[in-house]
Amino acid sequence: MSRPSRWIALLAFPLVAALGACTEDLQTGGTCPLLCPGQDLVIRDTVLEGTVVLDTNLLGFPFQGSEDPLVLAAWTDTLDIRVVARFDSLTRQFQQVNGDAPTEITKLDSAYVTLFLQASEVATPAQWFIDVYDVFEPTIIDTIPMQSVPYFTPARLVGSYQGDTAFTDTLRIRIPIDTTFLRTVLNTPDRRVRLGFQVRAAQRVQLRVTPTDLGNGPTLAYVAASVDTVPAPDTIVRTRFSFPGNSQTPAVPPALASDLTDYHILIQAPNKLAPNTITIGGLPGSRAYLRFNVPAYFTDSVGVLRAQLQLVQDPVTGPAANDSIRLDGHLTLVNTESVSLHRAATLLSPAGVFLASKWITPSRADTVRLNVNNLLRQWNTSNPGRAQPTALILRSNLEGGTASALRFHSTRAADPRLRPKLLITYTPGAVLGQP
Amino acid sequence: MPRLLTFVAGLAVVLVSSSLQAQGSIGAQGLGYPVGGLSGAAAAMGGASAELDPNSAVNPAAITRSNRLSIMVRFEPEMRETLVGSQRAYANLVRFPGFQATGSYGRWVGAIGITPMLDRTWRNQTNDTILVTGIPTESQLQVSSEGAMNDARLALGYVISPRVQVGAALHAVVGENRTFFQRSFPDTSGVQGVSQVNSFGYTGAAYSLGVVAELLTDLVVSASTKFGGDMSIELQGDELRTAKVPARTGLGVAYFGIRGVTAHARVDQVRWTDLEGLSSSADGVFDATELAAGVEALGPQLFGANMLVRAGFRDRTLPFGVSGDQVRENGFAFGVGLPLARGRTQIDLGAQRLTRTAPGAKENSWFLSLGFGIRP
Repeated sequence: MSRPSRWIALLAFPLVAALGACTEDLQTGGTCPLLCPGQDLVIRDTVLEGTVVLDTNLLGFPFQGSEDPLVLAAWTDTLDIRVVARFDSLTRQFQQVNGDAPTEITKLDSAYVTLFLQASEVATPAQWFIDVYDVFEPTIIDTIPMQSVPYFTPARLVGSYQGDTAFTDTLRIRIPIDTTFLRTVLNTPDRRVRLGFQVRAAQRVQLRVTPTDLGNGPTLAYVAASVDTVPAPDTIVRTRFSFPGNSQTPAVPPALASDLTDYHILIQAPNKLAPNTITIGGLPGSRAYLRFNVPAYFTDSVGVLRAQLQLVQDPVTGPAANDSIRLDGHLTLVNTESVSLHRAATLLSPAGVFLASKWITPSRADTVRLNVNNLLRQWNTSNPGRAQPTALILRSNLEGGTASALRFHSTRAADPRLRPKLLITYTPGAVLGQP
Repeated sequence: MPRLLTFVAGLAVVLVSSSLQAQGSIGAQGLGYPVGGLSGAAAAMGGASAELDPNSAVNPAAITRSNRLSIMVRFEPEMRETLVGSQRAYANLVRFPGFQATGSYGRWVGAIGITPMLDRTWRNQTNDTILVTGIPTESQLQVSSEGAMNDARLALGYVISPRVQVGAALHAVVGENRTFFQRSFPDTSGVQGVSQVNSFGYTGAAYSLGVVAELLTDLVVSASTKFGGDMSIELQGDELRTAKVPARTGLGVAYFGIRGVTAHARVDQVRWTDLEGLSSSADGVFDATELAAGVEALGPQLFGANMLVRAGFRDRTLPFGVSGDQVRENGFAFGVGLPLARGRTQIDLGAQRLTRTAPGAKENSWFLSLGFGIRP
């Protein structure tokens, strides 16, 4: 090829490349829908009644020791919740001044326990008290919290705090502990420090206590003094010891000992359960388990645009019933062969991952719709059963931390209009974008 | 020459990888735009010479006019403006390139190649409001399609005499459309989007026959016809619908009586209604008739060889309608042919200015053609 011809040939390439590489200029929309046939989306709505085939309440959430926050409450005759904190591992010996070896602590200058309090949905009264009891008793089974209750007696009172502030946010308090009691405990092998807390006031009082799990839990501190071997009294040496809560029992399973570092004991609570309803929240905390029987057509063969679980509220009365609670829907992560509802209600997807959350006021009688789009997509069938159990767990964001509860009419409601139902907006399983 | 081949391959990669999108087009309704299988030279004459052009995938007898080994690659980018009322949409488009290799043995000439038959490459993005459970909800629609129904042809021609040649070809309809459909909604609406990615495949077969004859001195008549066999559209291997490959009949005449000038005319009819039922989105399928006329003349010398200057016009109807009405396309064409390297290399540049009209809509298009041929 001659040189000029070669140049002409080469020039053709950038020309075509330039044509091909023109940047796209999308100024769209104007030509549709006239020139865009076959791109419509057929949308259908349907209401699936009777699709909830089982609904029930599952009580006892959160598990003992997993409370966040701990609740300390006394509503005169309707609510009584106490807190127990364990301090099983403490320094019991002390290096005396001029001493050859550590000896037992013979003098305590002071001792106190620190609590980090948060206000609850019940307004804190102007004056309130927290009494601290020695609830350790080697004969009781320490995994049965109610067995500690008889030891909340005046004879075991080891400290008290008077609150003179109607705080609305948070408050850190120090409750003085009887040093004689504590020195005795420290000097007695196998004697443990387990403190029970009870709140009291002339009116209804309810406080939240931050648990140890969150790093700001009950802390026991004491100041030991060395005096015996020091020739001059003015050289007294004081050492402060501080311990977060810890529990060494039960030995098995190990995780349970950690859980029982602190926990609350529900002695009395208003009953939020009612016939033909499902209850979410309250004390003890209740979760609702709903099992569905959704036609496979909706999980496998159509594109679901919106799926909503419709629930009708049964109003709940009581203090703070006008304060909203967040209703969280969860996908259960147990496999389809699990038969334990309680287990199904325990192994959950993170809140909001598969289901929308919604703030709801307990005292109202609203119709609530919870988005369950992703749930339906998770329920697709495969070889040949469901990939996930067709169950939904409803729980409150304040589970175990409030006596307030949400209540909805169940499948047993006399009026069919009140029963749970599934509203589905979908596009039929057509092949979209066909030539 | 290896360098040139490398350039060609590289160019093809550039063009394919930069595939641009169009949307809401008059021309790309239904199963797509009938590209026509024209070479760069034929396109520069509005397709008037296609029945006699060895590099156009039209008449199998015409390949006898390329009596030596040659390879031809062509690219067909398009720039178009679509108007609906006062709304305008612009798009640039590059299609799957066509290819043909030809070789001869004695009086026999064979060719193998592939050309886009119905190109369906576009993208549509629209913001609108639709009713979801009776509530107007903002939404965005994104639909795109890439790929084409292609005609892979194996042709054999025979030179009976210098005045008569015949040919036959087997056609395989192959190719696929990869589509993406997405309807999305704002997070705040609580409505979840729907999206689908599909790959539709085409399979079909046909055969064609053709003849080229110099009936009178300087007057060459060429004719061809294509007989369609069964074809189907498949989705991920499952047959969705079936139809027939469209039958086609064409007639062309060429007059060489004027020194340095060749005049061409062509009429062509495609029975696109054979495809009826294959498309679910087509708003009417119509048979199409095409008329074209053009001339090719020796131009000025460039680097020791004469350029070829070409011009023509074409008028045709398109197979897939808009709102049930047939679309008409017409326009003019022009271009040049540059023989290089003493005939071993040929570059054909062509441009067609086409106007497509449908009720309520109009489309203006610059349809470019670049053919690059080498004869080793």
